[in-house]
Amino acid sequence: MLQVITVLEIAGVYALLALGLVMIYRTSRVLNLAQGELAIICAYVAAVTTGAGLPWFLAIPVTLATGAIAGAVIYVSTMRPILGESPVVGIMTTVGVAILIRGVMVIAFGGDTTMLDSPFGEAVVLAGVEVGPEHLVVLGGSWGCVLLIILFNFYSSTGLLMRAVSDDVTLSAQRGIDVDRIVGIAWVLALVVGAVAGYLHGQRALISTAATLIGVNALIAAFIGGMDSFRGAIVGALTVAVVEFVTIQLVESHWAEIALVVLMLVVLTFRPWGLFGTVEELERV
Amino acid sequence: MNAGRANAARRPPTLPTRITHRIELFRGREWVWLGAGAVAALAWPMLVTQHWLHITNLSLIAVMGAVGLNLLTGNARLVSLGQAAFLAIGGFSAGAMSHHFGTPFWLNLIVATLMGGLFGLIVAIPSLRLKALYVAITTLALHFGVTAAFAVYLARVIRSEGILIDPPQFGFFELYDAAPWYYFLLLIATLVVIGALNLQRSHLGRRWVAVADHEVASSALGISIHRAKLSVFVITSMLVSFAGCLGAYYEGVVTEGFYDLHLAIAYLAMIIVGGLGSVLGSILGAFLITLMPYGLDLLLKFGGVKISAGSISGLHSVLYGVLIVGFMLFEPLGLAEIWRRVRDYFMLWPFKYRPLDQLRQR
Repeated sequence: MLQVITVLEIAGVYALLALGLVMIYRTSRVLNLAQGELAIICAYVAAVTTGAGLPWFLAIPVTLATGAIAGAVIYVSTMRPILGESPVVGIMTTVGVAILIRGVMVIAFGGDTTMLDSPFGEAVVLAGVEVGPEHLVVLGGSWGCVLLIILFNFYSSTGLLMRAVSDDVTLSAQRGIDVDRIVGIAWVLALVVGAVAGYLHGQRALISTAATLIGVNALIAAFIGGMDSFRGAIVGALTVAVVEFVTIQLVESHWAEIALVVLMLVVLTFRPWGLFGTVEELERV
Repeated sequence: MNAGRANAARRPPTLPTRITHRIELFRGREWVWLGAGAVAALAWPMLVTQHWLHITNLSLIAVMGAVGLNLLTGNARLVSLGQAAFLAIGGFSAGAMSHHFGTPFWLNLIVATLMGGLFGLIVAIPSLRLKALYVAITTLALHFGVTAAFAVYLARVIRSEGILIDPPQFGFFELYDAAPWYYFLLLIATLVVIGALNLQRSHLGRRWVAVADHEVASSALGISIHRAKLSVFVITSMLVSFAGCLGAYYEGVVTEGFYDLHLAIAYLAMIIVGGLGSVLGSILGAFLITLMPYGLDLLLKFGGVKISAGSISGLHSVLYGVLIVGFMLFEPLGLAEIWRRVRDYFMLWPFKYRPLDQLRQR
C-alpha cells in the first residue's frame, strides 16, 4: 500500500512536469530543458517564504507567481525572438536558461539542501495504514492538477485555441487566432504547473541543485509517452516512476538512472514518436 | 607531378577541398602571419608563468573536445549534451586500462578512442529514426547513464573516489612538466585542427552539412542518411573521447564528479560563443571559456570583491547561461563571425565590400 502511494506520488510530480513539457512542445515546438531547474527554483522560493514564517496559503501563491513570472519572462525575452527558427536554436537557448537558473539558485540560495514543512499536521489512516499528511498533499495536489490541466485543455475555449495552434500554426493564425498570446499562455501555464511540481517535490523529498534531476526524468517520461500527447505524458510518468522505484528497491539509486536511459533508448528505437505520440507527417522537398 | 600541376592550372577553379589547396591560396602576408603565430606558439612557455601555461594546456585539450563537438552540433546540427559523457568514457577507459592491466599510454589512448566510437554508435542507432531534436535528449540520457555507471564502477570495483593515472612514458622520458605537455598538446591540437578543417571540406563533411540542411533532399541526391549520421557520431565521439583520455592523463586522475552536466554545457557554450560550424570558432570559444573562470577570479581580486567559493561557481553558471542565450539571440554565428567582420572592416577600409574578383578567388 505504502509502496503504491510512493509510486503514485513520484508519478504525480513527473506527470505535472511532463505535462508542462508537452504543453510547451505542442504549441511552440521547443523542448524546454530548463523545466527541472525552474521547478526546483520555485521550490526554493517556497522553502524561503515558509521559512520566513509565511503561512502556506500565502506561500503557495507566491511560489506559483514565481513560476508564472519566470514563464512570461523566458517566453518574451528568449522564445519570442527565435519563434519559427530551427528547433536546434530553441534547445540551445533553453540549455542556456537552465544553466543560468542553476547559477541563480546557487547564488541566491547558496545551493543548500533544504526541506519544506508540510502545511497540515495529523496523520490519516487509509485502508488500515497510517499515512502522513504530506503524502495526501502530494497525491491530491499532483493528480488534482493533472485533472485540471486535462479539463482545461479539452473543455475550455483557451484550451481549444491551444489545440488548434498545436495542430497547425499557420492555419490558426489565418483564422485569426493570436498565436503569440496562445503560445505565451502555454509557457506561463506550463511553468505554473512546474512550480506546483516543485512545491510538491519539496513536500516529499529534499530540495537541492541535484534535485533538478526530476526535470530529466520528466523529459524521459514525456519522450516515452510521446512529446505531443497528454495521455502519453501521464502514462510515461507512471512508467518512469514504477521503473525508478523498483530499481531503487531492488538494486540502488544509481541503477535507476541507467535503467531509465535504457528504457527510453529502447522505446525510441522501436517507436520514435513515443507510445501515444502522433506519427510525424512526411517531410517534403 | 608537373603534368598534374599544369593540368590543374588549365582546369576551371573548383572548390578548394584539400589542405594543399588552402596553402596554395596563401600569399606573402599569410605566410608572415603564420610564421609569426608559429614562433609565438613555440616561444609561449618561455613567456608565461607555470600557472598560465597550465591554463593554456587545459585550453588546448578543450580545443580538441570543442572541435569534435562543433563538427557534431555545428556542422551536422545534432545537439549533443553528452560531451561530458564522451570525455568521461575516454578518461575512464584509460584509467581502467592502466589500473587493471598496467598498459602503456599509447595503447590506452587507442582503446579510449575506440570506446568513444563504440558509445557514439550506441547513441547513433536510435537517432537514425529520430529528428535532430530528439538527439539532445538521447545524449542527455546517455550522460546520466554513463556517469551513474562510472559512479557504480568507482564505488564497487575501485573502492575509491577516483583512479590515479601515471604520466605517459616515452622511452626514458616522462611527460610530467607543463612545458613538455604544452608542446605535446600543441602538436596534437594542431593536427586535430588541420584534420577537422580537411574533414569539413571532404565528401564526408559536406554530406553531414547536406543531411543537416534537408534529409529528404539529400537522400534524393543519393546520400545515405544512415551512413552520414552514423559516421558523424562515431568520428566525433572518437575525437572527444581521445581528448578526454589526454585530459585524464594531464590531470593524472579520473573522478566521477569532474564529468558533470556543467562540463557538457561549458563545451556547448564554447562552440556557441565561438561560432557554430566553424573550426576557428571552436578554438576561440575553447580558449575563452577555459580562461573565463581565471579571468573572473582576477577581476574579482582586482575589484577587491570577496565572495564565497559557492557563489563563484554560481556566477560561472550564470555567465555561461548569459553567454549562451546572448549569442544564440544576437550573434548565432559567434566570435568567428565577429572576427571576420572586424578583419574585413580593417582590411578593406575605406571600402565596405571585397572586390568581386578577390571574392571569387577565396
